[in-house]
Amino acid sequence: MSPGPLPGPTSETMTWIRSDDLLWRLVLGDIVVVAAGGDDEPLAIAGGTALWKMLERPCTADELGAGLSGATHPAQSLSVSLHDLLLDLENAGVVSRIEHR
Amino acid sequence: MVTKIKTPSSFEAIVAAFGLPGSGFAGLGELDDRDWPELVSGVKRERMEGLLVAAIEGGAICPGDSQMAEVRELGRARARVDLELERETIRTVGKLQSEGVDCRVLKGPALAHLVYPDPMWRGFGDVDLLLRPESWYRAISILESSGARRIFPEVRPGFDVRFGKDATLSASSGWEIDLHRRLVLGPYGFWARAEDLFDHRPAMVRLGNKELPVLEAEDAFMYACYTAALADDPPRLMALRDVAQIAFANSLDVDQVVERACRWRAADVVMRALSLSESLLQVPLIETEVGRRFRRVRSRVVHRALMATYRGPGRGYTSQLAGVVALRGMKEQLGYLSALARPQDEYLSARGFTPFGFIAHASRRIRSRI
Repeated sequence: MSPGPLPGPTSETMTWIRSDDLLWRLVLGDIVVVAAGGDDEPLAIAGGTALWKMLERPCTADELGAGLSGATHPAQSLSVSLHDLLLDLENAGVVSRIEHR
Repeated sequence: MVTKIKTPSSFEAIVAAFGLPGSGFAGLGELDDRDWPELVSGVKRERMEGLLVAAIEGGAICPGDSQMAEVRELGRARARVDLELERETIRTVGKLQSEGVDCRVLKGPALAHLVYPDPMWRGFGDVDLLLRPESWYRAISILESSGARRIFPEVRPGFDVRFGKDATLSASSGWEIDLHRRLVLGPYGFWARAEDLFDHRPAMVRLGNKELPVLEAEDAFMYACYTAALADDPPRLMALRDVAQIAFANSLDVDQVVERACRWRAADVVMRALSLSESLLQVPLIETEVGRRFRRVRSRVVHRALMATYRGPGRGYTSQLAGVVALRGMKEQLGYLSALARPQDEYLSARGFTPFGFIAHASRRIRSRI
């Protein structure tokens, strides 16, 4: 089932970036452990280092999808999981979205 | 440089020395199921999980599949603790600064971001902050009003600022905050005037979107030397690694280090720290600029004797007693000795002692080293 569009502006007018108050460590090259500004326990994002590096600068969801699709993920499953992942990370305060008008 | 010391496990030392130039250790390769638990236990004790991860990534250690799964979990757990502590550091410094209290972040979070190539390499266990003497009690009061609790009361009213080294608070989050009045116990703590460290601008490290004040490299090196040479017996490998890490960076103004070491009568301490790091980590510190300069220091009997008070099971008592030699004037000396011999009742009861029991305990610990 398709995840549907991200809420708010279209993916072309919206970029994603890491929140600026994050503390993080990279473990064994493929686990990002990250603590956002609140009191929640740090999150571990396994296998997310490519995404993490891309999110250092503002990226649209399409750019993220294109950057990550090279290796093992079929495009459709990648867009579904990326959508969910970005929303989860936003809820955890790890990424922010910037709307471009 | 030759120093007689208790030797930690070579496994731990190999991890502690990972990535340093010219290490005399060969890689460990694969470890069998008898040796692996010893390595893991030593690494956890020294909070070196990040260095273990780096040593594996660098090929110095080749774990099997089940061992690798354990390493992943160790690395993840270490990262979680360090990040929680960095968050606590930001909160604590923020509370103090918002009330106009100046401080310097010490040890783990400072060194991890100031001198290590990856902060993951430097694990830590609490928050350490240095305070000016004039803001000592105010800082404690600010933190207590936000829910922190001092674990042990002062030895006597006013002791902290006159003679004390530190105070440990338990934050409302459960993490420990060590507030430091001096860099080390005993005579070297009195000679190293911690207030001097506030005379110049701090270095800054960035944690998240916050800039935090830390000791500049020369002061951080001196503090690392005190910690490595005097704070623990046997010395902690991470403390020795700190000394080597800063020395090998070759970014120190060595004239400034020598000036501080002379002013604080700590040349022997620096020499001992370099010597311990060199012998236990098997790295050629003598080839660093600071190593070459301190190689020329001729060890003096009085300093060998004073540094010996920092070793053995009674070192907490013996080094404090030795502190009397660094105090000027009979009044200061008597005030100090009297406070050490007869702490206030609140202090004794918090530590579970009666006045007689305290003296008996101290005597036993002191005699056990003679």
